[in-house]
Amino acid sequence: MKRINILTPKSLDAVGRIIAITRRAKVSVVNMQIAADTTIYRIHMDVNGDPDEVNWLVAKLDKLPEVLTIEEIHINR
Amino acid sequence: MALYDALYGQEIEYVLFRHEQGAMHAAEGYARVSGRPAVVAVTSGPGATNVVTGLTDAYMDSVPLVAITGQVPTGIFGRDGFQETDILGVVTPITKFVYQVKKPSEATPAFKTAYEISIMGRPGPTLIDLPRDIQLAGATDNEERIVVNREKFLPPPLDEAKIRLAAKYLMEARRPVILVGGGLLWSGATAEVLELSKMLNAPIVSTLPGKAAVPHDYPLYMGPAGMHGRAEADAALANADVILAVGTRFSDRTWGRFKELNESVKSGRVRLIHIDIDKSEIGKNVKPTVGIVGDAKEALRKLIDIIHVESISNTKYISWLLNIRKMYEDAMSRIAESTKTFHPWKVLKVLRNAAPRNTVTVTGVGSHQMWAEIAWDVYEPGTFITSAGLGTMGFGIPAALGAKLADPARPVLCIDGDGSFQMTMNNLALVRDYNLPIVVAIFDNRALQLVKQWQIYLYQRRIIATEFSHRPDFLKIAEAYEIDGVKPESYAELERLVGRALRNNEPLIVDLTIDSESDIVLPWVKPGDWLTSAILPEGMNVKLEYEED
Repeated sequence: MKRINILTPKSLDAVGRIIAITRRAKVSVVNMQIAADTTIYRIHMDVNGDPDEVNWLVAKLDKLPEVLTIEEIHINR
Repeated sequence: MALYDALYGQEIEYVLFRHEQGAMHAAEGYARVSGRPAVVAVTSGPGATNVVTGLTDAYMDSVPLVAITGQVPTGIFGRDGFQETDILGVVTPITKFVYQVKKPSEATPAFKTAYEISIMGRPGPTLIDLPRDIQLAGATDNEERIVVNREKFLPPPLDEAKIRLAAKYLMEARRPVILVGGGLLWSGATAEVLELSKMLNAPIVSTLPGKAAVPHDYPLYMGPAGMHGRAEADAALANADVILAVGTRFSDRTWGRFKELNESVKSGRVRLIHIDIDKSEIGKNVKPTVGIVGDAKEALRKLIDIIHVESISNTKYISWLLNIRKMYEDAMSRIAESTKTFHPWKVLKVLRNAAPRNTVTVTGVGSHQMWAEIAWDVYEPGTFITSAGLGTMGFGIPAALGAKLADPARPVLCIDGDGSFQMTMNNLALVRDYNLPIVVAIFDNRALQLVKQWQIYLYQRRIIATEFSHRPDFLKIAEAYEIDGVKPESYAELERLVGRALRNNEPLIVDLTIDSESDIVLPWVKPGDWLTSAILPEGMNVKLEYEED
């Protein structure tokens, strides 16, 4: 299982763009949380899938200019 | 309306197209000739949804442009007002950047951001949605900051170790091949790729967009590979032991299928080096032996600096490829001579003779486009414009107008099909409205010929919904738009008429009668087949698998 942590400006348009890409990835999103700060959203996604597919998703998400930072970490469940 | 009213009397040139899709393709043509994004401004609702095809086309082919859409006032969002459309929701997956302006102070910085991002790194389309109340508000002194991460679009420093490994593989290669995509053109790396090809004696193969990146009179250019690529290009790619792929996204149209390549790379039989400015392309369809993220020009220059090759003993291999080329040209020449009506392959040879070397050539989408992929020679980088990734019928006429707008002094030839032409021919009004003298050659087979070809080969000749009636009369269409229309009866007449129009910068519409039954585009790698399975024209008996002594 991998966790993808994303920081975006506080805009649902940005969240919509992130979802639009994620729904085309060949991964299973087992958990998703969005926490709002004053000016930003912190998005956490736990995904299962082939490592290459998770890499595809992270690389595609990182193309969005509104994705300010993105990190992928391995988690055990 | 408020936005346009603000433009009244300003020194911003506007060009009024007859349909928003036309304006979008024109912006693509403009960008590919000038290297700069054009701006397309449309109304809300249907105006906005009509830009969707053009946005997708630009997104697939990495073309920079900025679209501005009108929108209902922010106060009535979500109330289904007249011409309200959630255009952000619609274009989310097909734009590099999209922003809905909700405060007047955001308008200017949002536009600046959209313009900058469209051209940074790998180019792409962007969109700004401007609600009516924002358009009516006065400009503000303070500019709101649009929070985005621009730095990610700057090419990262090259990975020295990977460059050295790539250079080592290229120096060890027996049959190296360089595959170039559209990214090479945007990077301006034509000189570098030619230099590297000469050093390695490596054939250059291209994708369809990459066709515009290399002059075709360079002896080691084998042409585009893939579904309707050239046989020698398919053979070069399929038999290479090291492939250097630059600025390409590994499209199924270039490779047919990835199974053979993936297996060869995995087993080490083929070493694949992939250079791309977009890191998401590395390993997307094929996992390379070496993946290098970076600007093509910079990476190729670095390779050239490192590589030192005494001699490459691939002369026999190159001769084999060049012989395939000769066999194809001979076979097509015989077929064209035995065809009673105009044959597309021969027409392209004649048009090429008629057109000055610097002519910008734009195509529509269909069988004529595939013939152009195979048979049209590009001499100057950037002078072949086509809709590759999306394959958008109707692309030709407006993109040719956009190309002419970008460089009025250059001849512009649009190679179109009758099906593609009819989708956006309304934009011909701009030829006289704005003095944009383009020459349009319509390959008139009265069919959606490429689909018909699939029906013939893959669906046991069950022809349905691909054949047109004799309507409309294209000469009368030409007359309606005050453009000379001709229907030549010989190749000599065709060459004379088109040559004269292009040299004299005069518009012309040429209706070329082509027999649908003899308009079968070959070579053809059927969908899902490997490159060496290409169906070749009659009389061309050659295997595309190389046998070493």
